[in-house]
Amino acid sequence: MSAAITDETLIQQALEGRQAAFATLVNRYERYAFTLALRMVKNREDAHEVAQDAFLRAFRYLPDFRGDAKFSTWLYKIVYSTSLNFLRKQNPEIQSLDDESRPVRLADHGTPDASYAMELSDRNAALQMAIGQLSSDDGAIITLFYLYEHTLEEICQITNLSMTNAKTKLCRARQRLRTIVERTPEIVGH
Amino acid sequence: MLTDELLWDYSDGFLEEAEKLQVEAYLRLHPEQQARLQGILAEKRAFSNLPLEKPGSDFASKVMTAWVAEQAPAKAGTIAKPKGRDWILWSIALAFGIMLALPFLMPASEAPTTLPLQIPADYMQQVQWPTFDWAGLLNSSLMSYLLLLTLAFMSLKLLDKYLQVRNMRLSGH
Repeated sequence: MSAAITDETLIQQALEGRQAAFATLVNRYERYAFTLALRMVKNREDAHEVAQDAFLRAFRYLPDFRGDAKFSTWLYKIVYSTSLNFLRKQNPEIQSLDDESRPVRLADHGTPDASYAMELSDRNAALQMAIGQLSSDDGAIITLFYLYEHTLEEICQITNLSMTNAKTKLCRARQRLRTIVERTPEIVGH
Repeated sequence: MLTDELLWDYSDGFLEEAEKLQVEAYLRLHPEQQARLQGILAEKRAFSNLPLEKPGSDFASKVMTAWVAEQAPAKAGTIAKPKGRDWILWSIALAFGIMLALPFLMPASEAPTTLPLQIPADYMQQVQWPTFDWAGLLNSSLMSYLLLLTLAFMSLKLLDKYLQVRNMRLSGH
């Protein structure tokens, strides 16, 4: 029944103070927010915290949501910036996620998720792993474009990149992902 | 020669119209290359069909618990205070304004011409009371401009504070 209710209606109800509307928004977007956060912070517990913070921030600033973009785009922008702030707290030297001289590497991240994913030994898990090996920015942009099927314009709104930069980043991320995929027998051998 | 990169750009819709037409023309002339394009489209479908990560069954309830807890103090605050804090700010602003405007409102007082004590006339020429032209200072145009600027600055600061408090209340803090 809640699937028939549009985001705009839920936002209106939430602004009137109906807690059920907030809960519906969380249920509707929790997996999208968590997946995007996980692509960036590379750790499930941290992604949990980031996604939760992002939802709370979204609710706090809901009165400022003007509706000129989709709610999902606005929410993912908050998830993206919350993830970025989290990464900067972990590593204050980060100036840009795209700085290849200082790649974002988080200690002890990925190993528990890697062993979990490899146990499944199916193509999807291998693809998830391949995306997980990308940098935070590459993982985010690949997820937004190919998994969430956002347009480049929406990705620019989420990441604050120019159109040219977003296209360049996406092409580079795609190349890096294809390199990883070609080295992964579980994907290539399918 | 059609590179994989070009085919990917074509499938992602990144090519200009002229380039797109060239690729389509090439594919029509070389149907064996269609398999490469189909392979790329299959990879894209594999990405878009990837299942989303699950955050855990209690994620939504944790978010809602935190949200309700965040809202509770704000609601309690609005119930306890029937009037907002605005009246305090405006009262302070009014007091400051009156204090700053008083020199303009009060008549400039002159220096006393008669001394409270009877001093012998012999000493009158030796004793010189220091005087300061306060009236002149307060009535000078420089002081007027300074006071006006101070008033304007104080008003803007108070307005800024009022808007901050109002925005915080709207955002639920």
